[in-house]
Amino acid sequence: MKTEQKKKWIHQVLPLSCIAIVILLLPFGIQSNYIITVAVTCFLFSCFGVCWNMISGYGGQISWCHAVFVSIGAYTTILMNNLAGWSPFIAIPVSMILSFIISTVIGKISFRYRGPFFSITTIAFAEIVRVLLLNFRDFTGGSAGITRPYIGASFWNLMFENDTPFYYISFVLMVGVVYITYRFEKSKTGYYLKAIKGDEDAAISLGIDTSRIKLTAFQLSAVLTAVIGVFYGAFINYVQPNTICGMDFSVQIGSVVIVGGLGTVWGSMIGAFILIPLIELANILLGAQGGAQLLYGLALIFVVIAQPRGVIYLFSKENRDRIAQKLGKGAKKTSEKIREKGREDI
Amino acid sequence: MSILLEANDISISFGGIHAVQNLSFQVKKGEVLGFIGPNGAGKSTCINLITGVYMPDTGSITFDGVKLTEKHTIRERVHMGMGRTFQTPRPFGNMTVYDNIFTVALQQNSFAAAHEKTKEVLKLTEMEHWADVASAKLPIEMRKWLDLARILANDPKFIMMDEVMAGLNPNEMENSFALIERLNQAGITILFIEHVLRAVVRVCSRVIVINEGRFLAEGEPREVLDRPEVIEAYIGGKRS
Repeated sequence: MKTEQKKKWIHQVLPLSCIAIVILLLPFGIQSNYIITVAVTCFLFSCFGVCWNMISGYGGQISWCHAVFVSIGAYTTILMNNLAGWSPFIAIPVSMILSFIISTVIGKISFRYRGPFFSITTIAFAEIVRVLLLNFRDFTGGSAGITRPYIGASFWNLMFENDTPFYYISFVLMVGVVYITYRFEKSKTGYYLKAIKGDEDAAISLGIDTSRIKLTAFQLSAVLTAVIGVFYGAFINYVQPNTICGMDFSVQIGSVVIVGGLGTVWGSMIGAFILIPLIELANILLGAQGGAQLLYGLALIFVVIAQPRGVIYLFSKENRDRIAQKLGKGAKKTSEKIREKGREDI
Repeated sequence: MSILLEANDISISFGGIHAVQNLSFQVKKGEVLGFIGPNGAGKSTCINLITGVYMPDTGSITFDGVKLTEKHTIRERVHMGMGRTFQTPRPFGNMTVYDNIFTVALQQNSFAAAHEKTKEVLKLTEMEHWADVASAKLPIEMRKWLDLARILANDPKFIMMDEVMAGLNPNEMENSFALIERLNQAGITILFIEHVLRAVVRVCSRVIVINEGRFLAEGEPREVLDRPEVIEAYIGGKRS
């Protein structure tokens, strides 16, 4: 085996395989459905984060309307089930088409302009959709929301007696989304998008079609988010505009990535597995909604001050080298002190 | 020498400011044309007119036999063979030097061909040993070279260099002269916008002087720089 291959095996394949095995075996050792539910939420928020990262992390175009795409998936699932008794799997292509159309409209309007227009447009659009969902009561249930009633365990309907099947489904989804993002990062569009984030004027002057690239990334991000939204809807079985389509939800998706590390595949997952359990803990200790908001607000402030590049930076080679250098200097200082002390003793 | 670029009676105003007025000039294929003038003369505005950032109020620009219109976007003009650098270098700071060039090379090449093109450009610009360095950490001279290297990844016919010598020390300037000569020998026509007149004399075969957006003089660099009207434009009076 060549040295490079051996290194790759030891540093990447082996640890990832071990983590995957542990994740796959975990439900056998856990009796509590609550912990499985939290794990499913972590997996799904990892997926949302990875999708959000495509446009906001790699492209630097901060979107605050990803809750809308989650809502498209979740509402489509529950409405199609309640109105026609259709499976969430049929809701997947429908929500993909809807999210593609909506992301195209938002992108075509806002990517023609530079600066904060895209972010502002996404905020305005998310609010419009939330208000529409609240006001079309007959269809969406308004502020009371709508529930998908339990009609018995069935994979086709994504209904189960406990959350263990969802644990595996959401894990597979996470692996799939990460794979798509990895391929996207290494594609021509991925390179152009990173160039746009680096310097959009320079990218234009070198012939890169920046509007088209940003639009493509946003469409892909939106469509994937809506697909995950379908499974999220089937998992929670209850949707309500203020929770699933509110600004809080979009901010939570963004927070997961910012805490984990913007513009990296692994950052979103690390962020989700830090933030979601912390939010659950805050809900238990501090009481429902408010505690969670307080906590991810504090977590964001802490990360922005302590490590703006996100938790993933702590595991980077750059940081390891920095620590090694510091330790080296520290060791040198200690040895110098011993030498000096020795001289004094003499 | 045939004509690569022709500006014919171009003008542009921004409100009451007439940045370029009835300016006509030609760039011949294969030459290094100096484009000089005092601050505010309209040199960078001319670049912006040629590259399509602005459209002229009047007049026309023809590039490689094609009359440029509003339909020719910045991007289309780049793919017709134009390239430009900025007064302040603008690397993609989130990428290495290699990836900066590779990203641009991907536009006209497959992945394998883009890798080959990137290596070729790195060799031509003698930046091979900088390949893995984060572009944000490059010294100023290398940033300017990286701007040029990225343009080269597009196989340009014509490069507009906007004050590439500004801020360089004499040694760095010598290296940059050599690079410009190599690019010109590779068949690239260069429009050299510069304040450092020593550099203009060194690398340009012909020079055009503009002042207050108007044509002032044209000819061989040393001869033009000695003309009284050029000296007056630069220092605001006659040389004693």
